[in-house]
Amino acid sequence: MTEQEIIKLTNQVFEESFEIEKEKLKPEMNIFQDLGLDSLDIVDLVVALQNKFGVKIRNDDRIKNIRTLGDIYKFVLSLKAEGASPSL
Amino acid sequence: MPEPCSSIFGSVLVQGSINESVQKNVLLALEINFDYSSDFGFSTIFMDEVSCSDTRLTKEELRDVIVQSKSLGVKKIIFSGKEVAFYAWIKDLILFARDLEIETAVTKNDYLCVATSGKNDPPFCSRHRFSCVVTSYGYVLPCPGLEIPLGNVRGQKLSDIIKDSEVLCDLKDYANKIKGPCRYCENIEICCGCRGRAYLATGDYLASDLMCIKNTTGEHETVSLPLPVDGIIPQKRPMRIIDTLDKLAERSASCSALINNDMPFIEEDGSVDNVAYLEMIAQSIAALNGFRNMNESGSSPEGYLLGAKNLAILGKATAGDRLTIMVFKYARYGGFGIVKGIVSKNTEVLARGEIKVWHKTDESD
Repeated sequence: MTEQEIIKLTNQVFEESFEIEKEKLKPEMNIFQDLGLDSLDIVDLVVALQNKFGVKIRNDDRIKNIRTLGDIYKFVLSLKAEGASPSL
Repeated sequence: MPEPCSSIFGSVLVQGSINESVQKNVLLALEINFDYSSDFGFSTIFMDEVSCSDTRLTKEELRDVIVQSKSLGVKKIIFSGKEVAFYAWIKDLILFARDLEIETAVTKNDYLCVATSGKNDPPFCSRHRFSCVVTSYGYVLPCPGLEIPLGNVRGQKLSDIIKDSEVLCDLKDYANKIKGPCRYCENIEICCGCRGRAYLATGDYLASDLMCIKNTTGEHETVSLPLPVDGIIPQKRPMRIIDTLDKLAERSASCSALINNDMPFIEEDGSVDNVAYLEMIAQSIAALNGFRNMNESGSSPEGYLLGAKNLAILGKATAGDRLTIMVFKYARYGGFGIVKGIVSKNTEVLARGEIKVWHKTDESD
């Protein structure tokens, strides 16, 4: 899966699961301040990413450090590179 | 010490390696059994949404299971069941496994779980600590006696099924989780009773093995399902809507509720307000958590209902109806979780939906 495909599918997650307009989906957007997610949305985001990319996301410190949409692209890229299921 | 039940796996079992497999969450052995049917009833009601489990695994799918088990550390695979002889291609799978340096064997059923039999010798069995069963329909069971599907390899990776399973997690933590006399038995380090017999007799896979000859007081000390939920959920009447915890399965439970006239969610026309269905789902998942937690604190961990989505109201309940509530822990991240629930009256589904919950965990402290 290419980086462009990961960006496209991640953006689809934000459009479909959180009803965020396509125009707002730029890598520098802060997912909390700019896109309006809150801590309660993170479990929904994890489920949506799992379903979209066919990966398993467990408690992972990297998620705690995610702030921007670009951080999510990098996180998914690293998951795909690892072959998913990163940690227990 | 003999291990009659576990001895099917033979030489791969050394106590040290078993302990290591528990710590590292790996498997030492795998049984692929061809005798189980595809019908596990309530236990798979949520699982079947992602797996096509009405047909047997193909040879290619079983090859994939063998590859996955190799990566999990499996050293021996047993092909078992009376029907195994009907599949000529089993020979190819045996050769394939051997090429991967996995020991193999073929056997008829080695295990017969009869809960109604008389007292039995201690089973000295710990096979769920280092092995599991994959049925020919893809369901993964902790052991041949404990017929609780943990997942299905058609929709999930074997490693994910094993890592995510709360049943396996409980069984591996047997010293803290087993209830009653088995927990205090002198053999606890090498035997925690037959989990299959305990489950068949009580509905609780963590109950003491009532059939073990060493268990002389167990019947008086053992709780069985269905169990009134008073004491395992924090709600009291009239806010407590559900009555009993009836069945347990992997991250799921089934509860019952008799709709009373004095329930706060009853409308003037005698029907139940839709919001009550969400409360029933929330109380049912609290009952599951409370029951799992009985040994430690005796009550459900602190938790809150945060919201709901995808709620579909398909029917109406009224006072006097007896409802069944089935819940499944669909996903979790940290202290947050998503629970799927179905409320039904007899075979009619009245409501289905998802709730988002938070409960206290070590991480959220």
